[in-house]
Formats: sequence, C-alpha cells, structure tokens
Amino acid sequence: MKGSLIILSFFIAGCIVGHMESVPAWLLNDALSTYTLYALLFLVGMSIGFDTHCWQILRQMHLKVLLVPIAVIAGTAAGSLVAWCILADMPLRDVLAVGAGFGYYSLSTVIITNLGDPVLGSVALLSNIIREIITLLCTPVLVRFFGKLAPVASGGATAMDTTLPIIVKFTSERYGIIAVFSGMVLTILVPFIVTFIMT
Amino acid sequence: MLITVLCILIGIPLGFLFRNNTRVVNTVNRLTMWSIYVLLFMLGITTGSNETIITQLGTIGVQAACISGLCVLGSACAVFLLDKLFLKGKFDER
Repeated sequence: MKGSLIILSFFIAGCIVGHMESVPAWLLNDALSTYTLYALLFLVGMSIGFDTHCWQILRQMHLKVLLVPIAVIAGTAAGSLVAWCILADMPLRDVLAVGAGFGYYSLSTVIITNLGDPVLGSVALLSNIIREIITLLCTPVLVRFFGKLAPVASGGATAMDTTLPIIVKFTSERYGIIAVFSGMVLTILVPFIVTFIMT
Repeated sequence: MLITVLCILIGIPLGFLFRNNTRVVNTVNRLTMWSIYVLLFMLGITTGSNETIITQLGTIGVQAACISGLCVLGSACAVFLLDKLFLKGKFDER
C-alpha cells in the first residue's frame, strides 16, 4: 500500500505541475517518457531473466495462455455493457469503443477522436488512464479477491509495459510472462477492435 | 510495438547472465520503481495540461471512471472464472 501511495503522489504532483501556466517545454516532450518506458521495459526484461524456472512453465502452458487475453476481451465487453446500462446517456457503440482501449490510451484515443468526436476521445483517454492507474494502485487488492491473473486482466494492453513491474512485484515472474503475452495480444488487437466498433 | 518487445527481449539474456549477482538484482529492482515514478509523474503532466479534460472534468470523469471501473471488474471476474473453471491453478508454481 505504501508503494501505491508513493505512485499516486507522483501522479498528483504531475497533474499540479502540468496544470501550471508555465510548464517547462522539456517536460511536455514525449521523448522523455518514451525513453523512460524503454528503460523500464529493459529492466523488466532483466527481472524476467533473473527467474530461470519460468521458461519451463511457459513451455508447459502452451496454448492455454491464449485463454487469458480472450477472457480479458470478453470480461471487458461485459463490463462495458453494464457501464452502458448505468450511464444511459451514452450510445452502446461509444461505451464499447472506450472500453476496448484496454488501457492503451494513446492509440485508442487517436482512433476514437478520428472516427468519433474529440469529447469521446478525451473520455477514452481518461478512462484508459484510469484503468492503468487502477491497476497500478489496486493490484494487491485485485490479487487478494480475484487471484493472480486479475492484475493481468485489469492492466489489459498495459500489462506488457507500464503495469508489468507492479504485476511482477505482487504476483511472480511467471505471471509476468503471462502478462507480457496477454498485453502483447491485446496491444496488437486494440487498433482492430476499436476501429471495428467505431465503424 | 517492435521496440517495446525488443527492449524486453534484450533485457532477458542480460538478466539471466547476472541472476546470481545480488547487487545487480537489487539495483534493477530500485531502478524499476524509480522509472515507474517518473512515468506516473509524466502521465500526470499530460492529464493536468490538457484543457478540454480540465474544463469538462465532471461529465468526462464520471463517464470514464464508470467505464474503466466496470471494465476492470468485468475482466477480473472473467479471468477469475477462467482460473477456477479451466486452468485450476495451472499457472502457479509447484
């Protein structure tokens, strides 16, 4: 929990700095976060390499791992359906498209803004950022109530990069490999699913 | 996409090489946490500096929170059922 609070305070500090009149230009530059992400991924790769037993497990699991992203897609669609019933003032198509970002906010926001409208785009941006933040903050809770696959599902497409370290920290390197696999499948599928729903 | 996968793939053999070096393992763990802090801070800056999001935060926020919260719950339930009905803890370590 202490780790989550530190992460949240970094996010809030970022919001405050971002809302200030004069944000230093180098902070708004995408390059910094992109290279930080690459460094993070490299570090995550190293921690996967530290665990020597996990590769045998991946071989044993084979096609069964494919069930994880399929379950994530089905569960997300079901969740979007419930959200549509509660919100009432949004068309089902819009709610499904926002949900189908699976946390991949950069790409799904661009596609939804282009095929829908900018307001729906910002809903998508915020919703998928929130999904990522929920995963970063609630992984211990999710693991306790829904098992070790839950943060992999919650992270969606981000399970392969930004939320992967948290998933590995609270489950194991083995689940980290499942997370990379599921996240990769979802990342590849996001542009197709979102475009399909929007058109 | 290709680069992100490459970054992980380059790390794995290096991590395998240094798996018994406690200093490397500890440094990697510490650096991992710090890069998450930096990324979250940057995410906050993107959110805070977007004017559309700030002015319409009420409606957009409620819609977004509702959708993401229920999507997380839905997918968590789905993998919970998947684990209980089909996998039966097969992914766990023995």
